Amino acid sequence: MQTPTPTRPPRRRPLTPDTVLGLVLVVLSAVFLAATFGLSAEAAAWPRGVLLALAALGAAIAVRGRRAPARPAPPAGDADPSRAPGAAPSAEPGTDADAVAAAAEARDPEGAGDGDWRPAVLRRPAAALGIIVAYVALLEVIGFLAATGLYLLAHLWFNGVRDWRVFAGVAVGVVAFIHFLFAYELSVPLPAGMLFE
Amino acid sequence: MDSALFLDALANLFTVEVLLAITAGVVGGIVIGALPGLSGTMGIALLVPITFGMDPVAGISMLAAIYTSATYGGSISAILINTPGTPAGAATALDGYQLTRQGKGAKALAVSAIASMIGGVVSAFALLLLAPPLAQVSLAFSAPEYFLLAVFGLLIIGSLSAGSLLKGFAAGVLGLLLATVGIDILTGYPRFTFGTTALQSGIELVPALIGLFSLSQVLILAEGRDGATEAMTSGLRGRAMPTLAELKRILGTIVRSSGIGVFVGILPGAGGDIGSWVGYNEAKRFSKGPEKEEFGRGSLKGVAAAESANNAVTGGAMIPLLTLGIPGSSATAVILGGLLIHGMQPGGALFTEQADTTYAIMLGFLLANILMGIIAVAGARYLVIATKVPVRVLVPIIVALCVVGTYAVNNSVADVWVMLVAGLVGYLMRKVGVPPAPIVLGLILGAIAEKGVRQSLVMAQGDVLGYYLSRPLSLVLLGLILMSLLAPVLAKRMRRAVPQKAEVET
Repeated sequence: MQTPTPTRPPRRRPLTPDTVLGLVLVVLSAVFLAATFGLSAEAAAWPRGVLLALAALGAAIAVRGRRAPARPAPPAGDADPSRAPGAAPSAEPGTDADAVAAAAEARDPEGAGDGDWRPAVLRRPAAALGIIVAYVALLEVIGFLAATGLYLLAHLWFNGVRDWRVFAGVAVGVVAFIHFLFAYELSVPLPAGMLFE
Repeated sequence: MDSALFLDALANLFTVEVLLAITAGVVGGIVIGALPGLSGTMGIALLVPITFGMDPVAGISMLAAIYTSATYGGSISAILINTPGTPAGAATALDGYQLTRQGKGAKALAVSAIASMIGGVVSAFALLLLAPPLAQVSLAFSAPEYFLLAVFGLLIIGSLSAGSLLKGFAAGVLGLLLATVGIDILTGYPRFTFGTTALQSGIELVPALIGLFSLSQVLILAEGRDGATEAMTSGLRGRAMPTLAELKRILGTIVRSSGIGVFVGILPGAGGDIGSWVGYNEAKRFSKGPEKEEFGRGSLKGVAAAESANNAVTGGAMIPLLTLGIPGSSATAVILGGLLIHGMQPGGALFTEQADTTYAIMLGFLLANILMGIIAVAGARYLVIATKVPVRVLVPIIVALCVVGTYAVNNSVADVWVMLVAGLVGYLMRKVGVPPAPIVLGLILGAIAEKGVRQSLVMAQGDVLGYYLSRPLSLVLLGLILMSLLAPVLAKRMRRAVPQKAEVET
């Protein structure tokens, strides 16, 4: 376990990820609820119901998230054991069946998250997202195919690829594939970019 | 189905485009499933825009082919490196990896392929036989039933997703909220558009699907914790084909597991992972003496039981998907998105007006399962080589396909931004343990639920409770909703019935 951070100290954490999630949901509900006041009663009724449900669930998640650290073993109910104290992703204690099931679920690509919020873990996804955002921003400026080629080179470099054959193969292959499948087969008008128009 | 319809469906199925699409789906699905970190759901979401330009039979059959093949593919990495490529492969790893350690990896793969094929074929027949009569029921649905159905679907998928109940429900409700964005069809008021015109038509399904399932997965992969796939080829040793005697011994297990898988699949919300655990447990329970001892130490029966069950789940899960529009898992939720962009609204109409297309898709699914078995038995060795492509090279390619695919559906860069936001939200949600599938289902069912409840309030003329209780179909659905509230408890028990020790080490 690393040094405690505001979001992930081992014990007695004031702000667990669950608490933050719950509060975000409550705030989100409040903001949207405020936006329903300009609507007619008929148009607003259903969204308001949905928002109240969301706020209630958010509050429940927040309360449960705050309480969780105080209880070493959550009951076999709906508390997520993978975020119980001491259950670091690397060392799941195999003491009770819930923790074991949680260990199985932690690897589930669509299932429960790992709850690892250390900055060291988040740095790479954040940088990758930055590259992707730049890619999308460039789409309409330098054109779809050029932006895609450039992006592929940049992201491969970021991922540690240094072999020029991989660069060439991936960039040429994917751009050609996109061109033939989308522009040629499916006749999607890909933006050419304002620099070239 | 009558013979004219059958011939029409066959004519729709046996075209070059459809057969190519199914083959590509099978090969691609196996590879995606075998790569730890890439799930079939992600592959299906990525391909939904490509199917947009295809014939519906080719497009949807390809998605279904990926679904079933990725389920088999998950067993490859489970058997060879003890890392299930998909959650449904976890039970397979118990015995499969032991077989690899004993030098029988190739045989385990072949048994898994045969079991998967039989499970898939059985489920495809179940789909062909059970879906049409069930779809008849949905013809009698009116506003109250549609509302209850939407509630039922959300409860089910929210409660059976891995992780916490509260978070699953919150995800579903969040999806309902996203569905209200845009112009209200009944009153014309723009809701939650915050002054923008881009949001007036609502949040598009395809960008949301790709963002939540594909891009968020990319961000998780970017954390760099993917397992090494290089070791996979070294496990492929020994004689591949099982002997006839071995096949005879496991046939009973396969048939029983296939039946279990179909049944679990039909239960909306119970996915392939539950199916494979139940199939595995039952196979163990039915075995006696030394055979029982073998379980967990490299039993071919164990591999066969888990794999036939999880592939049988795929066809079973498509029954509620096609007849009611209730997807049982995240993969089927994405396939539902694919159906909708082809203008195919699940329910009775699929089996009447669009019957030739629907039957062709179901027959295509059957064909995909057979093809999967053949390709898997003959070519597993070569497909394993394809999994050696490192994730660091795959990730940029996947992102480029996410971007171009999202763009292609509406030729809109704004959609690409929606996809990016959905990807970031999906990533954060996954990190905090909120499953993405209920969000998508809420987005799909939101409009149906709202319309159903508003119309039924008008139709009830004040006495809402009396109105709902006076309708037999509503009563059945209310009963199902009550049952679904009990389902999480059952699902938890099924999930943890077996994985006592072998799970932690994997």
